[in-house]
Formats: sequence, structure tokens, C-alpha cells
Amino acid sequence: MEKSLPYPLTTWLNPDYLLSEKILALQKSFLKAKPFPHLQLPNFLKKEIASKLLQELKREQFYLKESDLFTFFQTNDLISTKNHFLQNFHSFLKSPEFTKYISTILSTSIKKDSLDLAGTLYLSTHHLLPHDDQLENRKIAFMFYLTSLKKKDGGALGLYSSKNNQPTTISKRYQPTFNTFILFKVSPLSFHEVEEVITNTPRITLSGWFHGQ
Amino acid sequence: MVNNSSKNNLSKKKNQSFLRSSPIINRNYLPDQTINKIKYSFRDNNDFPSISLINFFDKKIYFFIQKELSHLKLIHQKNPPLYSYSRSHLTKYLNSFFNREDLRNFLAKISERNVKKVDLSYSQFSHKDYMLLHDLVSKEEKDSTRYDLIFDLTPNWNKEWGGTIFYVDRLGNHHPILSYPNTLTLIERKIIKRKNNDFSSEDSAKLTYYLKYINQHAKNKKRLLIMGRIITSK
Repeated sequence: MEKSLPYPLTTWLNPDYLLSEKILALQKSFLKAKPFPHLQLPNFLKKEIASKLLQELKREQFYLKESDLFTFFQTNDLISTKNHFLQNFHSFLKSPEFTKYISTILSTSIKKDSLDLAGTLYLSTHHLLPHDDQLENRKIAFMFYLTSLKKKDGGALGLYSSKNNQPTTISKRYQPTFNTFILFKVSPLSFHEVEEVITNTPRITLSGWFHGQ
Repeated sequence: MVNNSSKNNLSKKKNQSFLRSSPIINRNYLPDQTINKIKYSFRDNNDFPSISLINFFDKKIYFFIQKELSHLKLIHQKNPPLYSYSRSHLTKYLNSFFNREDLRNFLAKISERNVKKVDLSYSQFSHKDYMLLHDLVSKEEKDSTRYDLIFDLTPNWNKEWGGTIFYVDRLGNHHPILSYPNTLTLIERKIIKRKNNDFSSEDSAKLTYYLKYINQHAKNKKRLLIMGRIITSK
């Protein structure tokens, strides 16, 4: 049945993530997660797909982005990429099949055919300071890690606990790990940061937002 | 025998007489002709009315300020979406120093306003510290124009370490503030009252500011800044 779909989940995802008991477990984990609803999904894509994504993303042009909040390199939104493989991945992420899958595991209705997606490259000293990601349309923030960094290398994603709706301290940290997918619900409490990278190993991700219905 | 408290009083008296006998501002800045040039430079850029004066205080005075600051007890404060840095109020003694009539008169000549008060505090920024872009000012500020004052005491700073203060104008241009020890910077920005009673500098001369995150290369070095505002009337 799935083989007739233009973007079958089985082409891209680790088959373990398609088992019904796994989907049920993810639904529960997402809602229970602290400090705010999120999921960390290791080995999410098929390994060869993740490797190919890294290989193709490295061919894209990255631009230095710098403000009070961040310093890193980023590609343009991949909706305009000429790279055939990245185009396919972009189409897969916004496909009815994948958006329905994400809507199910997050118990959150997200829009098909609509997302932001860009490649991001952090080098030594690069960082993203605390913010909540809130902007019109942004429903779910996501990132695919395409390289791995050790704890001593910095570059962790830090999620903030809040008190009286104000972020206080980082209560959960995730080190970037190759082929790990992280998602969280954008809300007034979704304060997070990327800690300064203190290594010459590049921290490369594909990240963006799914939009609301 | 002299107890500690008497020693402190003696040292302060000595300092006070030393301050009375010397001009505190670098003599090169004091001639009327120079002040006129400074005034002209201050008004020269409509989007960013500002002036930085290097070697502002007389050398002896600068050492005196550094020494006084070394007695302050700084407290680190962090509000993640806004700032992370260490801060202390100035001592009464330093506060009255920065409110001396000669200093207020000098600032009045540049700003062309009557300087009623200089309101400052001392800040240190080290590795991992920052101040994000913000434009809110206190509700007590009824004046429509704000004058920010930044006095830099940071020796041997490399801008590659972060820590630069940037003012962002209405066109999105980023104006870095010179980081050099013994440098005084004065910035003018307009303030309008929002409907919800908050104040914000967002009219035609909108200017907001931030201090860039300080990265690992700063190691144990710190940005040392006395910052605040001058309270003026027309």
C-alpha cells in the first residue's frame, strides 16, 4: 500500500519508528517530557540517508549570520535549493505522509506543504543565546543532527525550566549526535539555547519549523 | 596608632584634596574650540548621535577611579532572555565624583542640555556573559530624549572575543562602541511612550543596543564598564 505513495515513510525512516507500539510510546514521551514537550529520536533516518544528507548539504553555500542572539553559518531556505537530493528531502518533510506521522506522534495538528528548512553550521565560538522561537505560524521546531560533538566540545542544545513563565536554568541538555532528530513544541515556555561550540569539529544540522494548521 | 576606619578616612581626605587640586578631565578636551568640535561631531550623524572621547580623564584621576572600583562587590545576575553579567552600584563617593559640577558642565556643553544628574553603575562581563538587544527604559523617565553614558575601563581587549557594545539604528545599521580604556562615550536616543505605559526608543531616531556574547577566547579577561545615563532638562 505505502509503495504507491510519492513519499513513503519506509524510504526515509528507520523502520523501528514505524511500529505502532513505538508510535504509542513516543506520543506518551512527548507529552510527559520536561521542561516542555519535546522528543529526541536517535537513529531516526536510515543511516545511508543521513550520510547522504550531510554529503549533499556540504555542497550548499553557507552564509555568516550574526546578531545579538547568535553567530553561525546558515544556508538559504532549502525550498530554493537546486540540489536534487535536498529537494526530495524537503518535499518528504512537508508531504502528507510525514506531516501526518509527526501530527500523530506529537498529538499536534501540523500543516502539510508548509515548513521552514535550512542547513546550519556552527564552528568554534558560535552560539545561539536563550529565546523561545515564537513567531507566527511556527508550531513545532525541529533539528536533524548530521555531526556528533562530545560533551567537552560544547554545542549542546539546552532546554530551560521556567518559573512564573520566566526561564530560569537549563534543566536538560542534548549533545548533537549524528542522525538524531529533535522536536519540540513552540510555546511561551519553549526557551532554549545552543551552547558555545568549543571545538573545531563542525556542528552541522538541518533545522526549521513545521507550521500550524 | 590609627585604626582601619581612621585610615580610610585619612585616605579619602587625601583623595579629596588631590581631586580638588587637579582638573579631572584631560586638559586637551577643555578649550572652547575643542568643545565646539566635539559638539559638532556629536550631532554629525543623525541616525547615531554619539561621541567617544579617548583618554577622557586625567591619568591620575583614571587610576583613582580604577582603585575605587576595586573595592566594589559585584553580584552576578542572569535573566536568560535578556542578560548575564555582574553588576554593582557605585559607592556614594564615586557617585558624587561622577556628579561633580565640572563634569556635568562638560556633558551639558556637548549635549546642549542642562545636566541635572549622572546615574551610573559598574558592570563586568566575562566569558558566557551578554546583553541582548533591548530598548526598555524606566517608567520614571518622562523626558523624550535619553543620553546614555558608557565609560570603558577594559585594558587590551580583542573584539574577536565578543563583548562589543553595538547600537542599532532605525535602518538596522550596527554601530560599535569603541572599546578602549579611559574612554567616555555619550549617545543620544529618542524615547516615546507606548500605550501600555512602557517606554521605548522607537520613534524616528530609534536606537537600541546590545553587548555581544563573550566567547571562550576571552579566557579570564573581563569587560569593565561604568554605564548609565545623564538626566537632563532643556
